[in-house]
Amino acid sequence: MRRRPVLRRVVLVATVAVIGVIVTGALAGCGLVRTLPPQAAPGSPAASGANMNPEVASEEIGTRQVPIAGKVEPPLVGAYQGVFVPPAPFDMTFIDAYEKVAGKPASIVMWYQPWARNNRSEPDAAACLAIMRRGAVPLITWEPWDPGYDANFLVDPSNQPQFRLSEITAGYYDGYIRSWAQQLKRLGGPVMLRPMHEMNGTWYPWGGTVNTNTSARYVQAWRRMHDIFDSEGANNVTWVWSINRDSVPDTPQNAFSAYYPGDAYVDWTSISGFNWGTTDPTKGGWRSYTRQLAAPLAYLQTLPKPICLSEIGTVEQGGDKAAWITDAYSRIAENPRIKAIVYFDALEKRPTNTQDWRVDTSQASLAAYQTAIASPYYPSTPPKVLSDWAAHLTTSDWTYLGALIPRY
Amino acid sequence: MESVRRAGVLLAPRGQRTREPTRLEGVLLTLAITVAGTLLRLLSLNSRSFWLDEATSVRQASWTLPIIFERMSKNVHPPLFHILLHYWVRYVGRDEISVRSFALLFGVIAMPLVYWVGTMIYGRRAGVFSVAIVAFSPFFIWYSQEARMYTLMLFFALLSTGCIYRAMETRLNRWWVAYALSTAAGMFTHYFFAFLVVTQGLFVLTYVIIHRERDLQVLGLSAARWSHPWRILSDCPEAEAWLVSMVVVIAPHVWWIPKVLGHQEITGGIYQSLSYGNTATPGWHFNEVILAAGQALFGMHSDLATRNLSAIWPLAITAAFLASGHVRRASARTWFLIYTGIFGALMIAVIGQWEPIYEVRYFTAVAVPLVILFARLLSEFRTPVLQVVCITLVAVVLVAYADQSYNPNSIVKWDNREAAGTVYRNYRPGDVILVVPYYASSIVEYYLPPEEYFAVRPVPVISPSGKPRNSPALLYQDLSQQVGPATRVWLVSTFLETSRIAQDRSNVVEWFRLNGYSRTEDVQLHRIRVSLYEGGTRKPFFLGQGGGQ
Amino acid sequence: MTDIPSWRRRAYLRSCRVLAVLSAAAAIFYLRWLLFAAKPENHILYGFLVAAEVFNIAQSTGFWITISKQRWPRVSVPDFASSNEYVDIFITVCGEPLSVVEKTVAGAVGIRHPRVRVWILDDGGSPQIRDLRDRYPVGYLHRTSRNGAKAGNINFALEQLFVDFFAVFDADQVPKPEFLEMTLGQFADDKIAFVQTPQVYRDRWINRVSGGAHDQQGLFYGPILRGKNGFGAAFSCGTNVVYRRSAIDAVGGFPEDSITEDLRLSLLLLDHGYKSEYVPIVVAEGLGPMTVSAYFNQQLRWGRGGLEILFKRRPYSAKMTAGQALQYSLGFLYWFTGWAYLIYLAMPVFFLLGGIRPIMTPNEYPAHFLPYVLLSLLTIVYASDFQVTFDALWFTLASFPVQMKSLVSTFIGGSAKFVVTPKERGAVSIRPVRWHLLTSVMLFGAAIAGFLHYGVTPSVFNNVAWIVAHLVILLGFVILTLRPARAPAEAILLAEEAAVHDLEWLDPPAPVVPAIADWEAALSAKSQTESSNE
Repeated sequence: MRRRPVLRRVVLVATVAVIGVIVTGALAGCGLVRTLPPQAAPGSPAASGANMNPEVASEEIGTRQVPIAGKVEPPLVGAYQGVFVPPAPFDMTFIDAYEKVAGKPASIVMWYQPWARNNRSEPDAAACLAIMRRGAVPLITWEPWDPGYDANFLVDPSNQPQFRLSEITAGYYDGYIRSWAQQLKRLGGPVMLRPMHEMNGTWYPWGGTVNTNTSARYVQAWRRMHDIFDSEGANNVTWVWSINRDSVPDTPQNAFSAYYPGDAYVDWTSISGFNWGTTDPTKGGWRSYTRQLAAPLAYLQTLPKPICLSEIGTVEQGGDKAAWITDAYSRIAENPRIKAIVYFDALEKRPTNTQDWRVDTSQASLAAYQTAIASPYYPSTPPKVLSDWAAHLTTSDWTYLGALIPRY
Repeated sequence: MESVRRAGVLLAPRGQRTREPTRLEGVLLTLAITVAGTLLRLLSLNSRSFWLDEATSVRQASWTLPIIFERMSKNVHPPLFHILLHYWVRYVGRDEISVRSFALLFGVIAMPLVYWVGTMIYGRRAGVFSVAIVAFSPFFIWYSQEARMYTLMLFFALLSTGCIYRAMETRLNRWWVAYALSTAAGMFTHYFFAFLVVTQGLFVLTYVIIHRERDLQVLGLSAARWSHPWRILSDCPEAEAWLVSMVVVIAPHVWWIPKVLGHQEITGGIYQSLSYGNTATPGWHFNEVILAAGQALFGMHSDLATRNLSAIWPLAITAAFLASGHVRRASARTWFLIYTGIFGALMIAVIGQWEPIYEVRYFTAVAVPLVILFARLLSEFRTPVLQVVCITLVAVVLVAYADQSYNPNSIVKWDNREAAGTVYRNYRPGDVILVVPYYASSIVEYYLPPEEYFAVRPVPVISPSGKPRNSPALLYQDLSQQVGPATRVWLVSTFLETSRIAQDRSNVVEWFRLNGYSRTEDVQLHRIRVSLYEGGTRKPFFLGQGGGQ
Repeated sequence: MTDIPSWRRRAYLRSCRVLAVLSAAAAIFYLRWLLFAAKPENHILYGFLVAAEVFNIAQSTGFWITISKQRWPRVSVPDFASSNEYVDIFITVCGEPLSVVEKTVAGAVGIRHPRVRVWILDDGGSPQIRDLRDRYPVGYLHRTSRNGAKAGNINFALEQLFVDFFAVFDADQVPKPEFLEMTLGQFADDKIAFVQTPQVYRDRWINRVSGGAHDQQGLFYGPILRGKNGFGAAFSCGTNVVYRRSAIDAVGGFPEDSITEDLRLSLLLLDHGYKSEYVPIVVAEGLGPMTVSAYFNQQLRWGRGGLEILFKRRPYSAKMTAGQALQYSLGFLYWFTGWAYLIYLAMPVFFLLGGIRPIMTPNEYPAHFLPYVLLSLLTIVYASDFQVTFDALWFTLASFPVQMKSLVSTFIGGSAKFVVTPKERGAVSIRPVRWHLLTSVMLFGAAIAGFLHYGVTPSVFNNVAWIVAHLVILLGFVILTLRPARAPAEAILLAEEAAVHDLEWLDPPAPVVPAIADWEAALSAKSQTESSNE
């Protein structure tokens, strides 16, 4: 038999194997690295438009553009009454149930979406459309972080290197931001976007004093997002700049004003403020509406923008919930600068304590809420920007929008 | 010592064997049979409508290349066929005949190719019989007429089988290179090509090595050296070359595999993902394998015909009994075909315990060695027996061909063309087309002009987690959005023999009733149904103003 | 039948064991389904089907165990010059024609041994046979009574003759010169009572019945008897066998109370602590039954003899090992095969005429049944070293009326008579296959009735397919009965074909793979050297 030297054969096989492994490893490596950011690069199919049936050819559909709505304008008189009712909008039946209980449709529906991949990080155009058809404007609280998969925040919020503001300003998330801009633009209807809220606290990775961030970075990051949306022509997106009622820590570097991106970049301002009652001893006990919000409101009123109370709520424990609600809504009605309220109609369970912010925790509370919002001060018709936009939709636009399917 | 190797009555004894055709005769016969086979394929090329998978092929081939790569990584099939079809559709055409011609092309090339492989392994006589089997088998005719990847798979399976045989025969590197390339292409055509590759490897790594080592030992050239595997490789260059070829075959798949492993089909199973919600009972699924055998032999027919033909399986035992007298110790080349054909098919059958993967077309790659084995058997019959066998086979094949091509009552035929035509002829802008089940939407889409694609609504909606939103509450919620303000809604439904799908359809119909739509048209066709629902005036945008639920 | 060359035995035995395990796994898979997963429809039919299948699987399991224990004795030619044993060759004759006996005598006198004598034990008392002693150096013994048939004949001879060993040949079995060289060496062990060698039919090419019987013998004298030998349970088959005189004396001569005295003798010897040996080398060639009636007579004698021993003679003794008991049981079990086949024959008739069937989901049946039946078949073919043909199984199944009759006659028949298997051509008659014809007509009628009554449905097709399968066996056997002789040209062809036994039917003659060819060439050279050594 002919035999070739063993060594030569072994070397040959080894060489081919090593080259193969290197080449394939490189290919695999590229593939893996590309999958790390929350969303693929702009222009990729995932970014190319509305969320259709994943198998349907969406190139043709994606090129269609329905009319684009304008920014959300405040009502001339009164304030929009909005609500946060999880798990809406991912289950719309909660909105319908709320409207039945409250006796009045909401004008704004707010919810939260994180940037962490695979955790509802993509815009859900169908959900937005479902909200619009109920006469409400979607208000998306857009959070560049990884909240973990339950409400207990098992992931340390203040230390998420992949979500440092410097990552955003360096452009790492541009593709993701752009895909949001494109998808919201293609939806066409009015959407309020509230990115990076409560930046003057320490509990989110975009907080100006944690995670190696600075307030200057915050402003830079905000402007970067805004510019991307502008360059995509997503003019139907209304920008809501939202602070916490007090700065933690309370230092000059952490003042409200340090984070203001500028009039050109903000359409609305907003505040979060809750009355925790006695449910959490660290929160300082029962606090009235005024005690809670007087200081931040004073600051926001210096800015030339309509104000939204984007997260507001109270618990039963430690006081009279019905009275608090009645008091709050009467004071809101007295302040013409407040143009929108979003009631935090949710139950929050934490490892150590629980807050039930919902309006129907007691008969008295519900009655107070119903009475308060029944006032014509809070309009029951869809915001003008929304009804204007709907009036411009053709049958064909409509058919197109009907092809949207819920993403989550 | 006395020997009693008896020949039976069926097969020709060695001295009596009918002569091999000459080279010229072989080529001419192959040409003639190829022409006849091509005519049979052309004759009924368009005798049936596109079915779901063909329409889906066109949809997938219409995507741009990056999108094909992205999406096909999550599909049950790899993308090579779709990439080729992409250009074919672009330069040849999108109509049924054009798209099917692509499959036909490879179905025709396969005929001379199988002559090459069959002749190489068993000589010209067996080669000519192989061509005849491929040319006249209703199974191969059917898949030459279907716009799917199965003839492409057949093409690469033939190349792969021929090249590895030639490579082992000649030990020339160029044949190994050809083998590696054709195998890599085959693996990018259909995942079940792997069964052919694995069994080829099994042959090289077990049969060839064991016999080589044993024989070297018998010849006193070397002791068995299982403790030194690399020296075995030096004794057995076939094994070494095959391993190197595998590096080439697997390399393009390395970046692909992680994506593929994310398939729902892999985590949830084909059965579950296709029937979306029917609980798959774990256990033995392969009872239906007998139907696949019937289809492989007799082609595609009605349910009853297939079951009747498969029910004659006891004759297989008689055939095995009769054959038992003719079985002889198989040579290396026969073992090669047994490994790749019979073991390959058995592997698919065994895996079918867990997944019902008995679509007969999935056996296309491993059918190549089986065809050559069968051709060998035919070529060995005594002349009078052969005449009887051939006349019987031709009669069976012609009847099967006619029934397969022209009998509309078939389990593998749908009146999709007519159904979509009904929609298309009566379509008005603003109409919405609901398709149940969701994956059948490609059928309607294929027959619609692209600018109206967005009118097609797959029902039910599948959430990204893969769960169908088909509980009535979710279905109604989605429908109110999918239908929107449309006053005319088409409902196209197929696969209604599946209880889950029938349930979905009746939920949709119920939604129509609740929302004041009434049926104005209802066309029931073979395995597909088209209804038109009309619902008064245009719905307002805002739900509170009287529209919707 | 050809023995496995020694250089292949290890690989052959290993493959037999692998196939046995695979077949057993397939059988378990089938049985598990049949017993626990299948849904019975008619419980009585289901019971019968289960009984038949359990019986068949038990028999197959016995076969798989047997082929896994095959043993080959070390064959060495003893140095007859330095030994001093005397050997007698007995040729038992009872009415066979002179031409047949003369060939045997001529063969027997050619046996190489310095101290061998040949005796014709003629129960027929034919003068022509007696005259053979004038032409050949043989003795002639004739007794006046014919008590005890063949056993009595041999016992009569043993009363006259006193040597160390004696060999027995039927009148048609022509021994080869090396007969004693291949066998006598085994008696080095004092406990060996007899050495058996294979029986083959030299007329197998010219007559189909003989050919089929030869095939059955090939399977029996091949893997089965080699396996029985592995268990120490090789039994004497009455011809082509050498006995130790002292052992026969110890059990009181040949038993005259059985028509299968050979089997009975083997059991008695076992009971007296003697052992046996089987040498699977063909050292004699005989004649097979030339007509179906002759074949059936032979089967009936063996079947009835075996069953009589089983039911009336206490075959089992305390001295038997479990393996020996198993092997003898398998021998008896074979004669019940006909009853199982009758059940298979009846199943389609019940469905097509009465609409009743054993199980509800026939669709699952092939998936579970085919692996078992095909693997079993492959195992048989492999174990016979690809020498068995369809005939061996065909004859077994087609003997079902005889097998049934042997059981019935064991209990209600008169006393059994020893009938010499006729070895010449008798008149061809349809009589032996009247049951086959009747059954065929019934099956055919059932098929027609089924189609008429139920129409074209898968169940009817399935049962008709079974009927076709049965008709192939039964009608084929009827044709064989009417035309047992082969055309001379065909016979010559087949004999020639047999001579080229190393060619494989699936391969062209020219080697195509040089890489494989060069070791194949070396191999065939080596195997030729080996076979010339043997």
